[in-house]
Amino acid sequence: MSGLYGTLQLGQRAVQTQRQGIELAGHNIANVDNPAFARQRIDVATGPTIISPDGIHATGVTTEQVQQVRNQILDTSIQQETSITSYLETKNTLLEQSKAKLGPTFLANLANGSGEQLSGIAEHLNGLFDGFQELANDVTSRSQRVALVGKAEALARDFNQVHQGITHIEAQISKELEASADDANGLLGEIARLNQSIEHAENRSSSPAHDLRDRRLAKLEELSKLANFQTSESETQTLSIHLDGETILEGANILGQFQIAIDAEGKAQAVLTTNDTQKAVTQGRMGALGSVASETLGPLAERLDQLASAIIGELNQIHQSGFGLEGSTGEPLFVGNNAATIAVNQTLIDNPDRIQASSDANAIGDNTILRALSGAARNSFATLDGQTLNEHLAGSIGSFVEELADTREQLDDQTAIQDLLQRQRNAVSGVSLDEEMTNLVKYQNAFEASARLVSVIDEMLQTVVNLGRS
Amino acid sequence: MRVTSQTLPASLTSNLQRLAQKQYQLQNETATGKKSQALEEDPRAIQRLITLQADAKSITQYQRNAESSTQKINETNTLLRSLRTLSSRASEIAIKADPIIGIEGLGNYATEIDSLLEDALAQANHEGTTGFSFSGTRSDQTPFVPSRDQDGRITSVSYQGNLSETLTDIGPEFSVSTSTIGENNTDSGPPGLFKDQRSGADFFAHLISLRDHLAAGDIESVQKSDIPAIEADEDNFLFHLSAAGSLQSRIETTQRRLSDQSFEIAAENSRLTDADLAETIVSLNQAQTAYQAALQSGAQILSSSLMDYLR
Repeated sequence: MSGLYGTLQLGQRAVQTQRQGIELAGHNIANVDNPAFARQRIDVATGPTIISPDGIHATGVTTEQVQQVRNQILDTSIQQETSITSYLETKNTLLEQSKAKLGPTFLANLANGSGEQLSGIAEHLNGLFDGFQELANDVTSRSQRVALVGKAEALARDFNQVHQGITHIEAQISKELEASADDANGLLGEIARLNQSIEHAENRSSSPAHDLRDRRLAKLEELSKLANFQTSESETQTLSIHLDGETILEGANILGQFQIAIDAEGKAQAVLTTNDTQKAVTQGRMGALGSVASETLGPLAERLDQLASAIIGELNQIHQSGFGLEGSTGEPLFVGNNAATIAVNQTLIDNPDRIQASSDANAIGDNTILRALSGAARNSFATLDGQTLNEHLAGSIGSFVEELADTREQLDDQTAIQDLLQRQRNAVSGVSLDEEMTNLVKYQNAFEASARLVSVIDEMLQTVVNLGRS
Repeated sequence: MRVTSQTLPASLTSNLQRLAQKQYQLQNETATGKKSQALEEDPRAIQRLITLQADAKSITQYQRNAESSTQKINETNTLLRSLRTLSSRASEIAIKADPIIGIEGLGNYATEIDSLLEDALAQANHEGTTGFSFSGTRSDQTPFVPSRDQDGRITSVSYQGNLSETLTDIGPEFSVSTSTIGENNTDSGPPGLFKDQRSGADFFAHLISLRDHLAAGDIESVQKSDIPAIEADEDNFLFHLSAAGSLQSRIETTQRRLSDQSFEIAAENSRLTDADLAETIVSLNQAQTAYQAALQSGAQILSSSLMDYLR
């Protein structure tokens, strides 16, 4: 038996343990809406047994440790999946923005829920060929010549606008890449500082610095939204960050920087630069920005240039062989050589009589050239992979929409995966108010009971003290 | 699965967002009558639609070309019928020419033939909306230029046009000539309307000859050479009239085919783009019901907790 003082100490330890329990329940409740927080629980154990000549003495309860409920595998999976989700979210947003920007001119209103009437390049390409036919019906008509020039100008303007639109989006992407690289480098700095704080705190205390680790995990997940990387912890629990085998950060030491590099096609890409090496960032927001610039907008601009070039080359070749109303010949219909520079020959704008519709200088009623120009709509072009102009345009629009649709589908699937993992982590680490309230009541009752024990021992001690007085 | 305090709100938010998106899409489809979402998710449909709409525009243009051709043919037909009337009257005069009516009567006939000749020249030089009708592709040139004697009578007519036809496309790889060549002195190319080597027609020369023979009282020449010559001209006009009729028939057939194609394209276009309103509205009702149920159940669950029972 431990005697009254021993029992008093037992009561004191019990009161302290229940108070710690209440304190922890309060900490959990306070962080109920903090997504980075993992619930903590107190591990209690029976107090050490004291063996004396009088026998074996119980010492009540003791706190072994405050444990954080986390699943390392889930945390790592979420970190990796966050990179992929962020990549797809950013790509989807960029493609949607591109759709909005290029929609009426490039996508012909089709992907905007219209589908009723073509617009933009598709409409004006058809319009130009119709214009050739209209003029062929009345070759000398001044009004039809003016109308044809207008149609050609509308087509050229559409190409210019789409090109400008793509250039504008690419410029935005470059700016966002720089901003994201700055953010990523800032996060690396914060993680390095947290690593240092964790090391300090854990060196001074035997228990893990749970809240600092929570904050670091939140920063890692924030970084994973920007770029893909892997993490590892050494035996001394020093956290390192790697990208494709290159170490970016080790403990408090930052060994690399996220930077912007220009690839072979002249597009901005995010890379991780360490001493001598550069590793491409392929996932996360930065990966998506680079991917859309080089794999979507770049090829799209190239296809539009091919189309514009084919239109310029083919129609000019036919037009230049004809004769205008005044006998002029050799004038091109379009000038320029790609989507950015295509424009209607100013000579024809100034004087539509110089449209070279006839194959005979002495026969202004001849419409052979116009019919040949109109027939070019049905021609296949070697430079367009054997496609007609319309097929090539439809292919470009289709590719863009297909990429958008694929990205949206992948994002839906990825969001489901991410949600599932988040739910699983929430099920393991999330705070339940019902649980905490129950714990609160449980610890409160235990606290009151332990306090009652102290009170009883106190009364007993007073009784013992008063024994000699009576 | 352990359900925490974040599980229900997160799940509710996610479900409400999904249902709201669904309602937005279905409401949009109901309002526009177009299955916009389906188009966005079906790149092949978009490609098909672009090709269809390009085809539709081409067909509309071919239809306009066919209408324009028909107008030109009608215009030419009117002229041809008028020329046929002229040639019939000339032929009639030639047959009626007889020594019995005397030199004065023959002179009157000669005067009428001269008048017919002037009429024929005016018809031959008809200028339509797209230029002169019978000068080939030299549509800015007056096709027939007369030479006149001191009395102002036509002594000969020379052709200023060419042998080229103006073609109009009324289908892919299908074009028709709506122009009529005034004169063809060769054994190839399109037949000439007023003079054609292959048929022996030479309307102006034959009228001039008839007029001059009548004026000279040379009935023998009228009967032996002018009457057969004028008949050759009449036959040539008839040939052109029947050719125009045949061409008109071909164009009408093509117009019917184009109209059928246009209808098929419109149907395919509708199949690709139009929403099934009945199906859309039923789906919208389902989504609305699910949304309301989610709101109601969510509100009930979220508003109650253990704290309600702890005092």
